[in-house]
Amino acid sequence: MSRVIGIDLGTTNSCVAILEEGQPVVIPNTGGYKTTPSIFAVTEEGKRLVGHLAKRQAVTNAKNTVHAAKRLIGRSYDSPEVASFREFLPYELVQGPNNDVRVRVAGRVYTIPEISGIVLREMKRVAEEYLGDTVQQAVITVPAYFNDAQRQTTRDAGRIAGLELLRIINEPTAAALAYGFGRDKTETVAVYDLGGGTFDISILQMGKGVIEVLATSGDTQLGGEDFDRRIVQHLLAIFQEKEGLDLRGDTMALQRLKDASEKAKCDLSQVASTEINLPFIAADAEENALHMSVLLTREQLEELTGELVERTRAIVQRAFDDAKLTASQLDQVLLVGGQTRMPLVQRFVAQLFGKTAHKGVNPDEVVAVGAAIQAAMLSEEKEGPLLVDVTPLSLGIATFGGHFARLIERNTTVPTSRQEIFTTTRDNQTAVKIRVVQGESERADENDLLGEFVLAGIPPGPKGGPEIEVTFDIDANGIVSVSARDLGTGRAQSIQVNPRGTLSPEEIERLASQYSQSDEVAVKG
Amino acid sequence: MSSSHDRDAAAVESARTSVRVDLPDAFQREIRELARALPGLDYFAVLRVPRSASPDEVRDAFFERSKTYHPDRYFKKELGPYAGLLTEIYKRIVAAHDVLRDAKLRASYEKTLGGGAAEPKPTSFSVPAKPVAKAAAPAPAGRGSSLRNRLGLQSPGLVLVSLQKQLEQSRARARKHFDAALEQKASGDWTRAAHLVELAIAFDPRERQYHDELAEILPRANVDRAADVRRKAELLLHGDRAGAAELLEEAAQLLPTDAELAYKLSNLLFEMGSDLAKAALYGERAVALDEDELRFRKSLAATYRRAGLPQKARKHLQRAWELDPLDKEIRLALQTL
Repeated sequence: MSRVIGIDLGTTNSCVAILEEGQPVVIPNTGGYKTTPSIFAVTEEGKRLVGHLAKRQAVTNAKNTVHAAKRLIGRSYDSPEVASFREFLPYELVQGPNNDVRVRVAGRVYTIPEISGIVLREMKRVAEEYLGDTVQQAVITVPAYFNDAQRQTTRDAGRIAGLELLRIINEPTAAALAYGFGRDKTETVAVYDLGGGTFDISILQMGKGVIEVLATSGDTQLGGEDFDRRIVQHLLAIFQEKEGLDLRGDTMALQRLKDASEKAKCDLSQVASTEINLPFIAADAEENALHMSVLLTREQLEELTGELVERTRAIVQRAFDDAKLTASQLDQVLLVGGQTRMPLVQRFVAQLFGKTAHKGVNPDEVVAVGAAIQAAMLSEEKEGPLLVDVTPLSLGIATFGGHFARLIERNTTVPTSRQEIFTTTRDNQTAVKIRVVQGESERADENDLLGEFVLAGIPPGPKGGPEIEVTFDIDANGIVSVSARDLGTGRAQSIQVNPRGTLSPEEIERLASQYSQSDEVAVKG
Repeated sequence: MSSSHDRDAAAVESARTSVRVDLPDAFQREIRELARALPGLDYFAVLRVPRSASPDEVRDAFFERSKTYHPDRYFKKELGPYAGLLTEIYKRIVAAHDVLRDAKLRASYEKTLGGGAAEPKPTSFSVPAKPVAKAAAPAPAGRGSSLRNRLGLQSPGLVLVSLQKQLEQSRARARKHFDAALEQKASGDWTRAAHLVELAIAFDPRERQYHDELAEILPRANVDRAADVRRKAELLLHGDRAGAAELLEEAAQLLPTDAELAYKLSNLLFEMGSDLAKAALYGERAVALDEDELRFRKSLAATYRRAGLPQKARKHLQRAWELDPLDKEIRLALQTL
């Protein structure tokens, strides 16, 4: 019998879990690890690697090792997010035909859903090996603050991995589900989720078999990777001053620095100081070997990264405002995501919420567990809490003058629809162009364009006469669709949603079968 | 939306015997009845709480209703036509909760319902005492009833609240844009002012003031825009005639009563030679706007001649000759036609 799994597709690490006899189990890979690096690489010999093996050879093969693909998923090539992320990236980004961002690995260009699909396929394989059974269905999690393009592209990744996605759920909601599993108290809970690449805050009300999200907010550009980067920059500056050499151009050195920074950061959660030791990091003009040996204290780290943590304050406040609650009304705070292990973050959270966080959840695994519970509930109709979630971003249209007119406010419970009447502004205008946009800025061009619709075939007449009823719909996955009806003629106009940069169904199918056949992907974790 | 409800109900009726549905018969009946009664139910009835319900009771009721009607509860089941009905029911439950859990929204909603005394908690979804039969009928075509259809809700009470709210919101938005337009007008930016007024009209097409204002602003905005376009065209004339022609045509569409502009465009197109029909079109416009302008007549005649239409050429040449019998060019042209 085919099983259903829950997968936390993280920026840095991924995790897979399943419900066994009513109890959640986090599935270890063959190396015994409960999480798998979300890394894909192609070796010099053309061999494809995923997970721990890919990570281990990252230093010598940085150019062809892709990490943090989640930072790129659903984004356009020329977006500011991609530009800033690119700065220290050892692997090459290229522009796709839809202005989507793609990566070139060992001479071949991959789309981002493909890369994420490869990681997902690995998690699927891990589960199948453990279970001794096939897995065809899954629930996958995404950051609550992901927009429509990011969610759709994640869905494509799931399909490429050969998985039928029952549902995409938000990471903080999944964490709350795992926390609330087996618990029956009515509680108001805040989930502070600081992962490898994204930050989410959700405020939920749970009890009586329902988990309802009141408000959610976040930053899809803030996570552990940024903390690592601050350390790398610090090391680069020190080295520059000491040796007069800028290591930025050296991809291997950069990769070593990144690995060492990440390790140091984790160490400093346990100890007060650590040494970053990188012998033979570079060579000077006379070909003498240069070494890096830097002492890093916890204080220094906190100084380098304090600003990143501080950034979450305003985001949390906005969530409280939207939920119409204050911190004092919270019963519980959950910390999710590896970065919340940092003492600075824990102190910050305690001060921000006025209470210490609940200690009983494993920040690396809780999201996958939640996904597994949801997967079991949906597929096997197990008894369990019902998730009632919200859309994190306002949805509306772009209007003349470049303004953004909101139609569905952020933090509206989904599923939801909203109808609005549009009309013509010129006599005999037979078509109306509607640009559907998602985001919070007052200016439409600062938000995300989901699609442009031209409603043609409006019978000519005086302006202001026709009434075109447009329905905006957000489903339980948080995915948007738009339809329209000419109230005068009663005819439904069809509109095409063209999500930016996603692959066509044919492409997805082709990739899915391609990857299922070729299993050169190294297996041992 | 009433028509879609009716459609759904009809679909359900007809499909009932042919499609397998994995729901107990009693529940199927309950869903059908609820869907039919939905338009006539106020938010309290939808959540099944009394008017006196506390916020906690409202929340608990929402949780209870969610557990029964959220489509996720029946994820794996074959629902057939009931899938759509359940989704619509659940969306209404969500809407009810959104209003009743917010103190302000609930207060203004209660005002529209009237009837202060707390009603006994409804135990079933039978149609309430207030007659709502009319509302359930499909609305006839026409402006007035389409307003009612605007929100897909038919219950009189609900229409008033939501319609009012929506209308207010639209009007407020329109007003905002209109005020901004007036500011732009005061500072002399006609183009921007025109855009903003058009926007105001889109949100509130019935406000007379906006139309009047647009009628005043638009010509000036067009002049500005046209001047801008012409400037660009001038620059192109020496290098990119096709581009210049396009721009001039855009300007000509903005200023349909500018004869000189039409004439200029016509000449340019004539020189380029690729679209004589269009050259003639604009030439005709120039002549129509100023029948006694010699240049216009001559130019149009030349265009027709080149296009191989001597009759039309002659007509305009003769008129030109009447205007200036001494013009040698005209005489020569007439002779050689």
